[in-house]
Amino acid sequence: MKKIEIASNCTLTLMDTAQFKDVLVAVRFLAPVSRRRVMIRMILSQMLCDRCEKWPTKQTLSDHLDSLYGATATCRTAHYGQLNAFEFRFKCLNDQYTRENTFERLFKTAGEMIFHPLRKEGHLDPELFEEAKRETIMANARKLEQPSSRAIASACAIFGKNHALAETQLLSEEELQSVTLQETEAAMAAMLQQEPVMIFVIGKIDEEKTIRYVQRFLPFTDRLPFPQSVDLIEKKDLEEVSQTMNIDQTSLVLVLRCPVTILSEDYWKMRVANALFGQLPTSLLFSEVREKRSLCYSINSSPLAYEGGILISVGIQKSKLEQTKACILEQLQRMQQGQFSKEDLMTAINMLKNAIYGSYDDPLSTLNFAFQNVLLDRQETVEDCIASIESTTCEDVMRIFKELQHCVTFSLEQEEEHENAY
Amino acid sequence: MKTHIEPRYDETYVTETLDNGLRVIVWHKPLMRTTSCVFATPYGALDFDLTAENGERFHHPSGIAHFLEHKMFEKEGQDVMNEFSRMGANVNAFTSYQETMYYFSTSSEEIEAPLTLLLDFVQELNITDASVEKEKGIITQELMMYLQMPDSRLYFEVFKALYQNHPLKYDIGGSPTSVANTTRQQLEECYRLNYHPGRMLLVVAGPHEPSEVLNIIRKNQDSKQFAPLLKVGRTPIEEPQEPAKKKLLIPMEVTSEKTAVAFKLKPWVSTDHERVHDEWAIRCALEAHFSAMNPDYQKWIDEGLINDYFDYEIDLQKDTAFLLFVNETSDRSRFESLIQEELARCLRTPIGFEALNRLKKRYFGQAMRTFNSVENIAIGAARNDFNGVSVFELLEILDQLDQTQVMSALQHLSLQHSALVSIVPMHEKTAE
Repeated sequence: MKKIEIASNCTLTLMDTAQFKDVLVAVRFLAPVSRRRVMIRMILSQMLCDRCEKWPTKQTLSDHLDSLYGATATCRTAHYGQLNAFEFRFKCLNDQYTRENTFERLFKTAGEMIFHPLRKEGHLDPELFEEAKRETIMANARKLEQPSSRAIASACAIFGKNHALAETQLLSEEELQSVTLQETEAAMAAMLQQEPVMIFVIGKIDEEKTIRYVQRFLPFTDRLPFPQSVDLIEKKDLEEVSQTMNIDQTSLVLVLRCPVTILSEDYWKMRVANALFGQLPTSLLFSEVREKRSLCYSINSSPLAYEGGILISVGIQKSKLEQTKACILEQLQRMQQGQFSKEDLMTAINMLKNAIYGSYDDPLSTLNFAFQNVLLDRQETVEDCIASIESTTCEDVMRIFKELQHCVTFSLEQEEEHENAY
Repeated sequence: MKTHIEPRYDETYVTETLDNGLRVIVWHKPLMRTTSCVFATPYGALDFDLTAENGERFHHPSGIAHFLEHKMFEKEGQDVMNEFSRMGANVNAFTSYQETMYYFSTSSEEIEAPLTLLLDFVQELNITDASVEKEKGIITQELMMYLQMPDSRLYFEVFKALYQNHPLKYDIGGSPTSVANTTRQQLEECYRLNYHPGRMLLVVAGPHEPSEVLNIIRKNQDSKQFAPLLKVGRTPIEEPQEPAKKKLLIPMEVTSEKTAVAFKLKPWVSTDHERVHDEWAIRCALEAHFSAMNPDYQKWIDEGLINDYFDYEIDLQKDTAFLLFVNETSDRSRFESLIQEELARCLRTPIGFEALNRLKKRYFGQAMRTFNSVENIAIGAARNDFNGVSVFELLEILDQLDQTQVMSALQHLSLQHSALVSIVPMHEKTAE
């Protein structure tokens, strides 16, 4: 892995590996989260991968990508605490398999799509904007139609109140509808001209050639400094909220505040503790809630690495709601009191190591690991993570879990237990 | 042991059939750190009514293959997942309509222990009445989870509408009633009939030398005895050409209506190679008409006839075949007309030479990408094996595909019988 400073706050990270058949080029623009910006960038992500000036219709862009052996050009947004990352991602087969200069053509494609969006009379194309807005509204509604996604979003909105986390949740159709072409255009200009940029290239690459292509096709100049990402959420009183919907299963979400974030020295120890608590089939939650009591099919806990929290999500029968909640909190107590075996701790350590080493074989995990290092301005290696994971003791787990504070219980409940479709 | 080298794709794998009939594929990926192993049986959700070669018939509740998959993880009252986790290996399983697969992946250099454990736990069923009863609550919650997801519910309702008798009309997991009616004895019988090594396939993909991997497998299998294989197959079922329901509206908590127009095709009775060939030929024609490749596609979006939810699926099997279009629309009849009209155009207009070549390039790229992940390689190899055509044979089919072949495959499509299924918002009237 090699990191090069292309311009001020514009980095290029290269990973030369022959493991994969294709090459991945990702360009990430970073900006602070605000509800408005989140929505604008969601719409932009629909617009910018749909067509551009050079390929002004879906058909011409599709034909072009097919000519590059099914290359892909996608856009997405993601949140890292206070930070919104807007990503262009391009992938194509390595030249070795196409026997053509697909790598250079992929960079050309990236340059065209990033710097030359489809315009009409000097402005972003209004028809494309309206279409992208419609698609964004539908995609947002689709996500919230999934009861478990809605429950998680609702719990995060409560936990993250007055923080960036809440800004990204439960967007309404009215809010998305109110986004204008003018502000989208302004956001696009700020993104291209000012926002810090990270470029990642992963695959079998020639370093010199890649740098040349970046300079030629992605000629970014000096940018604003990287914004802050971690947004530790303060202690708060427990809030218990329930809503009802006409659904077949009740979704229960608990959020525990945890003072450990991705920047903390204890971060990997917290990950081990969370694995032991609810991330693995050997975890307390899985074995007690699912296996011993048959209360659910799926239960898991996951860390909120940039906000400081652990989120537990489970789907159950409405009549078992209180029993399930009590059982989860009982497992939390067991963690705090050290009522788990040394063997279970070792299992959690081994599984986490397995996952981290496994990321070597996944270009996206490799990309995200490199992204975190640039974002947090550090040079953490996989070996550093492994060392921290391996050094986790029972006392560490108890200490970290004693600091957890139960802040939110959210349940999305069945209106009544009705006859199902079977 | 037979070594297969594919220089064009830079891939190498070996195959062997052991004395007990178990077929093994070991895919060599020396640059990867992770190993993925899949142990699979061609026994899926459609196989709950079986007939043996001696004429004996076995009927079980729907969802039993999936129930059995859940119970396989029990070993002397313990969950075998824990043992894998202790080895630092991730284990999982899934049941589809056609097959059940158990698999693990690990980035550890040591694979003998988890590989042996995979072989051992799948080759021994150890369950009690009490544990079977306990599992029923878990499976019922799994069924409920999928039932309330609008997308999976749409597909489930489409198959219920299309098929009158064929087991495709049942959910993969069965129903709460069929789950409640499943017994330990039935699970044991299914296990005996479908998990014989002579029926199964083991695929290992990873950095280890294939000869070493094969030695581990041989050592394990040589130490075991198996009863003679009783050959069984899915009991043929008389399925009328007409769908069970021509129209079905399901109210759910959704913002916009999701509609499927599904065509019940005649089963594709041919060789596996021909069936897969025809499926890809038809897919190319459909892609040329029902994607951004079609200049009208943008017009359909602009007119609100489709949105980015729009998709289609074609599946040709020996006993069932269907073509399905899904969309979000408030005007289902206009959508249905659009599909009918464009399909008619698709059947009479030959695919363009350039369009076909572009698609061949696209599918080549997509197929090549499956080699990026050892898990995709292992699961894909098992799936392709059961489907009768390897990924390299598929790449060959695509390479050789021409306009005449596409047109000829399209002529076999029978589009007389269809069903329209919609997931509609709760407040809408459904009494149509």
